[in-house]
Amino acid sequence: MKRLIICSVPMKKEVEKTVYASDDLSLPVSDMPYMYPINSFLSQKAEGSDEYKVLLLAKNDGNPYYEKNAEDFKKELGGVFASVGAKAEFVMIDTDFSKEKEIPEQLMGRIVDEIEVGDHIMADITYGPKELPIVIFSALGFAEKFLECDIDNIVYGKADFEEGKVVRTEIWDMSPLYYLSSVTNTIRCDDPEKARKMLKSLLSI
Amino acid sequence: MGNNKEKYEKLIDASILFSLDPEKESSEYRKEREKMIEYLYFYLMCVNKKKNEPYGMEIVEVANRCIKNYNSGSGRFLNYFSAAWAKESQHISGDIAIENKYRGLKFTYQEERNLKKYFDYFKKKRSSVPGEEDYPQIAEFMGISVDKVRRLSEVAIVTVTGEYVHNSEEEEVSVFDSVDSGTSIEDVFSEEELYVERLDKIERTFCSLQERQKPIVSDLLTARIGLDISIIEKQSKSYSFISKDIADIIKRKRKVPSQRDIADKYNKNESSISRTMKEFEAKLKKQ
Repeated sequence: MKRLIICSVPMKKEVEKTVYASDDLSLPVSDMPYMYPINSFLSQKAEGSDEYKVLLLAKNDGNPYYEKNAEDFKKELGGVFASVGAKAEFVMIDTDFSKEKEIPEQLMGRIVDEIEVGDHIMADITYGPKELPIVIFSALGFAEKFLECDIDNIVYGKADFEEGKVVRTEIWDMSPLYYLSSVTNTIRCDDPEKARKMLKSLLSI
Repeated sequence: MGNNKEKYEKLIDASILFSLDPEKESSEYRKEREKMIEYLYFYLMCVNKKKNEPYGMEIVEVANRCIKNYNSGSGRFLNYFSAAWAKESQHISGDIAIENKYRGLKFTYQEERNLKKYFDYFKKKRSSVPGEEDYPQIAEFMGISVDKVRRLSEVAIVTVTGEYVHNSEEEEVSVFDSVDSGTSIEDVFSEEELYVERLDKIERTFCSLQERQKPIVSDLLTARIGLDISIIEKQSKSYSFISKDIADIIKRKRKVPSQRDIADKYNKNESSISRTMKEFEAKLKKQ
């Protein structure tokens, strides 16, 4: 199975390792510390029979940190793949950290260019500039609708702080929200009140 | 989407949704649930887009209910959903027929009920159905226009099908059977004061219930007692026992949900909610 991993890489100087907690059996994680929650997750889920393509998204702010962070990511995930005998290809997309409006849309297009028909996609939106999760969501929407892709996971490492220090980190999966958005974008409902009622129905479990 | 019913049948049949634990595998369950709802929607679009597309909200509600209530003993999930949707479609078709029958005339349940009382009163007094010459008097009593009385008299005297409630013996009875045909026009107005007194008493008792009982009792009360839509619309802000959901169904579908409908909503059997209601009635008597 072809799997595409999309991960945003931070611009900050250093990414600390931490143990990501999970109380969701469908989101297993390692009890060892990792820099990126997707890597902790993949340490439990990756299979040697799958083919992986890893798309690293970085913003070039003129500092060298993002390049080092990308290398650290490759080493961390490369270690996971090596342990299960999986093949992996790494692709880096770095864009200028600029306020020009056409950049996010262009980045979305470049991400879509790297997606193949039928890919199973996982994304990690923990790090990077604030617009990246929206860009990634947009690209995933295109991939699911037009390229017959499955969006398997959109993970995020949630951190709890006390006095400025991280005291707990937990892995979350935002893919249910993605699919909720997909459903509401698909279904026709001409009456605003009925549409609200429909959403309440979707939100009740 | 394409027009590929078989594709969505396969996706629905292959879904892992019902093998997941909603609590322990929460994110996977929620994701597969949203996907299933989308597949069911696309499936119905493939079956008959023209007929089904205007009913997005209804499709989601039926899909949601089916997902909540389904177990493997119910057979193939798609068949289970299709049967539920066929039933909902019938209700929708009935609503459209009623809408066409009433030709867009807007009137309240109270107006329809009162007109029937007035007509019965006239028949009793004069042994004949009111005619055009009586409409001005009826219009004055009801506080509506003569034209509305004329149009109401054409369509509203026939009982709307499907308007049944359960009485205290759990028997299904038509709501119009509860109307006293011997009631005088003058008595109609004094009834309203007694009605409000009863509503106050119900509200006091309702507020003393446990929180878990309130939603069920609210739905049952509104279905049994809150039949006068105009009273519901006026009082719903001050009476917490009035169920907005049930009031909306009565107003929109001109049909009172049965006890079975309410039991299904809460995923309980009828005897369970009947017990809850009996406990409430016992408390009400002590008030």
